[in-house]
Amino acid sequence: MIIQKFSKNVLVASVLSVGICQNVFAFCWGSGCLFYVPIYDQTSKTIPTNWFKDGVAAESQLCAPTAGAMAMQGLLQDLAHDNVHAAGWVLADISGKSMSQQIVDTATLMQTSPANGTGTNNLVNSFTARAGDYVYSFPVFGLQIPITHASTNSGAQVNLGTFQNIFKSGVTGMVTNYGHYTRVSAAISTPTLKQVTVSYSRNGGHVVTPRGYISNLIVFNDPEGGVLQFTELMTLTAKNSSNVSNGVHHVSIETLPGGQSTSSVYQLYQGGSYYPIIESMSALTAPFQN
Amino acid sequence: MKNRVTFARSSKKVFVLMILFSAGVAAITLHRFYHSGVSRSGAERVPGEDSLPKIPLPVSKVVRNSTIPSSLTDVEIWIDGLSRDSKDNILQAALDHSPQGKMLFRMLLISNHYGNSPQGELLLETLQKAYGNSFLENPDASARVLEDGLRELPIENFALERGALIGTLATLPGYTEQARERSLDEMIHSTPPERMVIRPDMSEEQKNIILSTDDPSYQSPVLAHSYFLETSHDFQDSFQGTLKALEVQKDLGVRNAIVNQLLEKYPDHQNEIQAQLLGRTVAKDVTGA
Repeated sequence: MIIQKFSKNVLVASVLSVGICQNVFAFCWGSGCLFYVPIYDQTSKTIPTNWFKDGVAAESQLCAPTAGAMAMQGLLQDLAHDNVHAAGWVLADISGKSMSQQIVDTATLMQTSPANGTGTNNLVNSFTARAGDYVYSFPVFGLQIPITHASTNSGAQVNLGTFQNIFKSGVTGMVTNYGHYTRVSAAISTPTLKQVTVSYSRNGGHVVTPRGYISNLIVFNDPEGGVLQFTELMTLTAKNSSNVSNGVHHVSIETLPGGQSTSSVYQLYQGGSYYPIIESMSALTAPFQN
Repeated sequence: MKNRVTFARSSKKVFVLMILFSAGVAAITLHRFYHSGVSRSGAERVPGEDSLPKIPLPVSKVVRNSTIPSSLTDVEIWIDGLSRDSKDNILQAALDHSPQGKMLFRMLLISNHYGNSPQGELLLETLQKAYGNSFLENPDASARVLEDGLRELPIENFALERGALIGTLATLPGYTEQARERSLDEMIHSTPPERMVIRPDMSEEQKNIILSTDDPSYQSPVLAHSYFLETSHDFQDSFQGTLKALEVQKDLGVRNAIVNQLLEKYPDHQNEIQAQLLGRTVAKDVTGA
């Protein structure tokens, strides 16, 4: 498991030392891309308590709107120097608003329940619908042209290359949803056989805001606690085996989560029997201007 | 005592080595039991209610004698003294009619209640060493027990146990073909419902159910297919059996797992498998098509 926390200053300094600037806030170079995204905390005391489960900040279910608000605000700032402005909902509910107001407005947009969180489809649809809210203004005619396009990938479609290709294609705001999975192993032994079945049990999920990658590390803001994280994107492959040892036949069969999964899924990191497995990622991307 | 007879058939050297090794394993296991701070009241033991180390055993006798028959007998007495839940009772009714059936029942009982604990694993390894030869040297009697189990235990509640019975049948000398037929039959008749696609109105609880894979009914056909591949005659036999399974399995996750097992087993036939599956409607949505 590789997961490290860095301060924003360290991150920016490290990028500046190797980076080729393509936008004041957005950097891409040979083996990575990084974008500016503010770090929001879903448990912030500035958020009205009626948005917390049982009124308790620590019980906050606001990961999706917090991640979404971060991504939308970051994209706005990243694009500001390309003469791109906010329009529509982003202009009304994100632009110039405080962090807590942005989170509350996004929670309302995503129909987030303080007790039960946000449905994945509400997250994806609300976020991708904002593609029309970042507009390029033509100075002469006063025309405003939407500049971003939306993309969504789900389950086994999401791998390191998916992240890399999207970030490399332009200035990007992104949210990624992963499930909390626990690896479950069941062993049955008979006099001549040991059969092990490995499966995965899901218990809710979480949403984070990826802001770039460095080689095989994904860089993201985690709304839970408001922290910057670097993590390797790992491939989880079904491991099946069959062999004979000391006269006993050993068989192991693994079924990956997802119901419709193929032979691999992708996880942000792994600790013990806990597996955060990516279920979807949505992005708003504007082409690099220079 | 029947197990002493089984062990006596081995060569003297192997016999002595096995005794020393097994005695060590038993001593370690029972030492852990002994030092687990349990009461020795002899109260009724209920599988699953207490962790294994808390269960009283006649430790001192076993440790002093430190021979396989003594410790095995004591362990068997301890297992036979466990009270059972309803699932255990169904297992016992299906299996416990012969010496081989008793061995199998004891091991499934311990597997289901303690199989994932280190102590349970040690105990099962000890039982495997004690029972394995007897099972293999009496293949007809062993096969009858396994067939009894496959006939009596319903797929709904015993999916993984049935898989283990088929897998065990495949280990018996002279029963490969029978295991092939049973596994083919199992993967055709164990057909869990197709899991739903996530919809916007679904709750997190519904998503948890749909996206999790720890329901044994979805593992059952995949297990059976794995044993089928192990016992099938050749690639063509494996491929035709896989097609039969794909025709009846509705869940895409199960179908994907089955195709991936076939590809894993026959990597040299990857192109042929994909080409043939793509040509059939039943398999158009698997293997990335």
